[in-house]
Amino acid sequence: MRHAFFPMMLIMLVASVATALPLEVDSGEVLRLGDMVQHVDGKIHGDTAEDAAIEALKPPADDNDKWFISVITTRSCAGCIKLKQDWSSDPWLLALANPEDSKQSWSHYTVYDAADRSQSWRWKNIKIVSYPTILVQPPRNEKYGKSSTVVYQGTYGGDPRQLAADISNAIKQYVGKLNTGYTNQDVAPPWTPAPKEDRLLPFRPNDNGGRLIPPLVPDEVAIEVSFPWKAILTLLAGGFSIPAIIGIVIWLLYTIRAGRKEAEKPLLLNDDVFNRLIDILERFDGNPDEQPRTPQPKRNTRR
Amino acid sequence: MKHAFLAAIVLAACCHPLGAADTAVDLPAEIRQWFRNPDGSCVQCSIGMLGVDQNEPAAATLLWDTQHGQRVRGGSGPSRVARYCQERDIAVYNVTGRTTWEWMRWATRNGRGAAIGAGRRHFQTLMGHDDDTGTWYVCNNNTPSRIDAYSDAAFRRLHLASGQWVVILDRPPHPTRPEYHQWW
Repeated sequence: MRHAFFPMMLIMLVASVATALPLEVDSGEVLRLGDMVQHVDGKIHGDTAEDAAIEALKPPADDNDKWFISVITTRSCAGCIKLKQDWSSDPWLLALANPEDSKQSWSHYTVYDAADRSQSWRWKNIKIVSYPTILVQPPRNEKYGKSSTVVYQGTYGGDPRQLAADISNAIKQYVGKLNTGYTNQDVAPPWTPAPKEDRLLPFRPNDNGGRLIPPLVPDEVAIEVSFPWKAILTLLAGGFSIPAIIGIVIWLLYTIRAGRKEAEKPLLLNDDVFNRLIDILERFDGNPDEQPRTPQPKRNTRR
Repeated sequence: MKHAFLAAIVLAACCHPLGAADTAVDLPAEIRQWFRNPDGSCVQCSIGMLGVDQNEPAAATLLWDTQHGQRVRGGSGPSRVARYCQERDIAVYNVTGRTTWEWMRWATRNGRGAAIGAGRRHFQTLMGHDDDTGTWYVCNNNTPSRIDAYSDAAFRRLHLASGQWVVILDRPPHPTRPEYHQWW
């Protein structure tokens, strides 16, 4: 018993010294950087893509310097459950975010439930096509442009190392672009997202009854003439003008004729004579450029 | 008098109205309305808003009976907050005394809000702080549809009126609402 006591004490002592040792290698940073070669030659540097990537992926100095990783999940989604499990155990993913310890985490990591109405408004500007969706955004300090920018958006294929590499590579590419003069301007997404929901318009019966075949025949079509605003404005602004007067007369003739037709009163002129009269009036001043005098048919309507 | 009136109108028209999206806590008015003070539960209303903002459902649902626990209503002090946060496993900084100013600045600078003593025996939600102008933005759970702006001096009076106590969720802040900017 006495012989067993000393080895046990020795093991406990070694274990306590080992745990008390400071972290000698930040293996998380090594994993985040992935495959990379940085050339440090003692000269002024910091302007290459590699330098920018190392700067972006180093341990954050402050809470405000942390990148954001958001995972949007749904219930009963096998991929979502696997991703959450992998993220709590896989060293490659833990190097990017520690779900259990937000202070030690390289990024601000949050899991959202897509069905949670208290959170869904956050995603209204982006298109989410499948779950889980992983979003990566720059830190709030705007050192890397607008913190609203989606630097990475993807889903989970089941390979944690691949996901971690994809995220790291996206960040490297992004900060590399920033270094080469990328301007952070608002642009449309790279595709046209489907509308979230159809706009519900009140039902309005179609003027022609929705009939396409057979098409409308001429005697089923009546011309409705729009009010000659332009002619009146011409008169008001420029004084007396023959084309404007003719425009108003033509509108009056159409209006009186339509009123008599509707009241089923006898027409003063048959269609042929009426059309010839309109033609004569339209040619009266011989200036085809005068716009106000000719009333434009507004639409064809079935009477 | 007439000129002053016109100048006031022009000034009001030029001023940029503060949108919720400009502050650390960026909850839309529709969500803030859920936390209108029903019965003197201002502390839980203020913490509840933070719960939504930082996606902490156990804090967001304090006012109602849910799977996260029974509703917590009525007045609270630091010890009651500590107790129900412990019961519901909500990590918070429960801060009283002279350092509340630093804590509030820390929280808003890092994208978090704070439930704070504001007004006589009242708690409100600190939504943000503008370092450039020294303006503090606060949402009162009696009028949750609007966000009130206070100068540094006015905010100081407001906070001291209730006693220096703030509650900050020990959770990551929310990301800025994501958008596509073509960087690739």
